[in-house]
Order: sequence, then C-alpha cells, then structure tokens
Amino acid sequence: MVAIPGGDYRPLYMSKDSPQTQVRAFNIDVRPVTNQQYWLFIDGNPRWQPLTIAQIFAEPQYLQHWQHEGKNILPTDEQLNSPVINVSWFAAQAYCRSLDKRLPTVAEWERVASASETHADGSQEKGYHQRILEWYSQPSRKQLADVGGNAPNFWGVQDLHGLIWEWTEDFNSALVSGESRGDSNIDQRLFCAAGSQGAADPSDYAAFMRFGFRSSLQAKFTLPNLGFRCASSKDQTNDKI
Amino acid sequence: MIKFNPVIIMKLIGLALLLVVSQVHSQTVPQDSVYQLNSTWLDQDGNKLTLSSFSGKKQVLSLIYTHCLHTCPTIVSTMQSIENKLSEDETQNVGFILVSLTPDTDTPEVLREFAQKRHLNMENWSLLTGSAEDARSLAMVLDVKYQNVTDNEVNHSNLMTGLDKEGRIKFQEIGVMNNAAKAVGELKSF
Repeated sequence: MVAIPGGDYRPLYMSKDSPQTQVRAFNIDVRPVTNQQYWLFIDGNPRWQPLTIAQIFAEPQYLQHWQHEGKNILPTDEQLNSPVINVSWFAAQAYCRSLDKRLPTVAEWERVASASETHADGSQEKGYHQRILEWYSQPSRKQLADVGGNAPNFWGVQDLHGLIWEWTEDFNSALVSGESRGDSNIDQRLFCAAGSQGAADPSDYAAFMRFGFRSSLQAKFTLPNLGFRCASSKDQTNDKI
Repeated sequence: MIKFNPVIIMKLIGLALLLVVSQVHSQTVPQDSVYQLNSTWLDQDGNKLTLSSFSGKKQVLSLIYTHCLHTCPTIVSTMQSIENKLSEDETQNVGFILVSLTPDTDTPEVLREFAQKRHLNMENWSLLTGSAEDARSLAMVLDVKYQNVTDNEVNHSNLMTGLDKEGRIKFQEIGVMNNAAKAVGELKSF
C-alpha cells in the first residue's frame, strides 16, 4: 500500500463554487487484487467460495471465469496475476476486511485516480482525459492483462485506468446527496448533459462515466470487468460511514 | 505417555462448536435471506445480537438515525401507524426494527431515549446500533442508498422493508403515511 496525504476533492457533480469534500489521509493498494490473492482468501473462508456463497451476496456469475477442476473451482495459470473480476461488493468487502483493510470510498478512489503520471491533478496535463476515454471506448478483453502493466501514477498507484473498473465502499451514494443547493438537483444528475453544465470540470467525461456506471450497480452484481483494490484509514479508529 | 493440555482441548472443543454453529446457521438461514449477514449489533438495552435472532416473526425494518429531523420521524410514525392497524393476533407475528445509520452517536442509551420519546411499544420494537461497516452492508443488502454529509447528517432513501419470518425481502415501500395501509395489506399477504 502507499500513503496518500489528505486533501480536498470536489465531487464531479458539484459546481465550481461548491465547497470541496475533505479527504483524510489514507493508504491504498498499489494494484488491484489478483485472482491468486482472491483464491488464497476464499481457500481460508469457505463462506465466500463459489459453491457455498449465499445468493443474497453475489449473482450466479460469481467467479465464473475460473475453471472447474474436479470438485474445485480455481483460476487458470494465465489468470493468476490478472485482476480478480466477477466479484460482488460483499465479496470485495469481505476480502479487504480479512486483511484489516476496507474498500476505498468514492472520494478516495477519485482523488488517487485523478492523478496522471506526473501531476496530482492529471486534468492539467494535455491528453489525460483523452487517454482514459480511449480505454473506456474499447471492449473488455476476454483474458485480462496482468496487474502492474500500467505506469505508476503521481502517487505510485497503478492500473486505476486501463484494466478494470473497481468497487468503492459507497459506490451507490452519488444520487442521494440532496443538499439544498441548486447544483444537486437529482433530476439534473440523472440525465447525461444537463448536469455537466454546472459541474466542476465538464470536460472530465471519464469521471461522468464512472459516476454513471457506479450508480447503476447493486452490491451483489458480479461483472466481467469489475474488480477492486483495498484501502485503509491512516487512523483506523476515526473511520466514519 | 501423551499429556493433554487442557487449554488446547478447550480450544479444540470451542472450535468444533463454532464449526457446528456456523454450519447450522448456513443451513437454516435461506440463501436469499438478509439474515445471512452475520454481523453483531447492540439493541437499546445493550444486548448483543445477530439479525438472525429476529427470525420467527415477520419484520418491518428501516434504517434511521435518531437525531434526524426530516424523513426519519415520518418513517417511524408510518411504522407505528402500521402497528396500530394490525389486529392483536397479527401484532404478535410482526416486529419492528430501526437500525442506526450513525452508530458513533446512536449508543444504546440514545436509542432507548429515542424509543421513550417516540412512545414505541418495546414488546414489538427493536432499535439496533452496530459498526459503520455493518450498517453499510445492511443498507447494501436492502439496496438503501445513503451518504454521510456534513455534521453527522445522513442522506438516505426512506425505505421500509418487509421481511418474512426467515428474513427474505417481501416488499419495500417509501416510509410515508399514506403507504401504511398498503404495507399492512402486504404484511398479510405472506
């Protein structure tokens, strides 16, 4: 994990003059969790194995990219170092908890992911948004590449863009911040173009896509391009919801 | 001769018991039950319990926080109105659960005070507080969306969830007064 200093973050759907969200200092995994790491976890936690997991915690597609070998379901050799996918939010949370970690919040994830290779605020770099969008426009590959293939960003964190989408702790909360300000009209945020008018950075289409994607998820969804990484608070005790 | 260390033996017995208990748990709680969550909570009297201890009765459950000024009082009033609309027989089979979204401040004492202030009939009601993580997991299972905003306030969807005797979700209604009669009808339908 690497330490990320505290700082301000302005949720995308807020207007330029709305107050920023404070993100406390935290730690985050350098790379997404791999199939091998996840396999080790369920090996010691039968509750989360594909054949025993309760259906309320995951869709039937849970870990469906793994292979049946006799009585077991395991990743293939080629999959060992690629990111684990087809996992639900519950499963991702259980994995992180088993290591005394947690999932990163949306604010934490976006704060780290807004850095380019050279700037903490990647949007200042020419072509930054464009590169992310180019990845978004490509269909997911059947066999995902190994983690760590993308250059570390400003904070030393890899694969935030270009490999998979990632679960966040509060992924489904973007639509409920009904603050009594003009910029948080829910209807505005539900429809594509309207909200961008007042947004902090209307050119950051990539972030709009992430917020849209997240709010379409349910915690038990298992998708072939959705994995996760873990985070932890700097001071574990002051961890708010 | 092999000597048996009593501490190790006790530990082994404990481990065996734990295995049996967890086995029984996963066998008796249906796959699609909210009670699959094995989190532990404190009720208004400080008793430690798991959600599966609510099995055996139908339950109406909402996520709230006690200092909430807007939607929460409406949810609680709506649930009370449901309680009043049930016949005496039906009341015996329905419980009402309020789970705190701000566990840091909603201690059992605060919950107890809240229950007294709102004149909740504690034969039928339970108020729970737990860890922030467990509250979020419960919200995820119920698909209730919420977000912490400044000053310990929480924006959340004001849903009431009806659970059957084994913790399966049977209906969800917005917690407003004119949904009380509808919820009563739904409670009778399963």
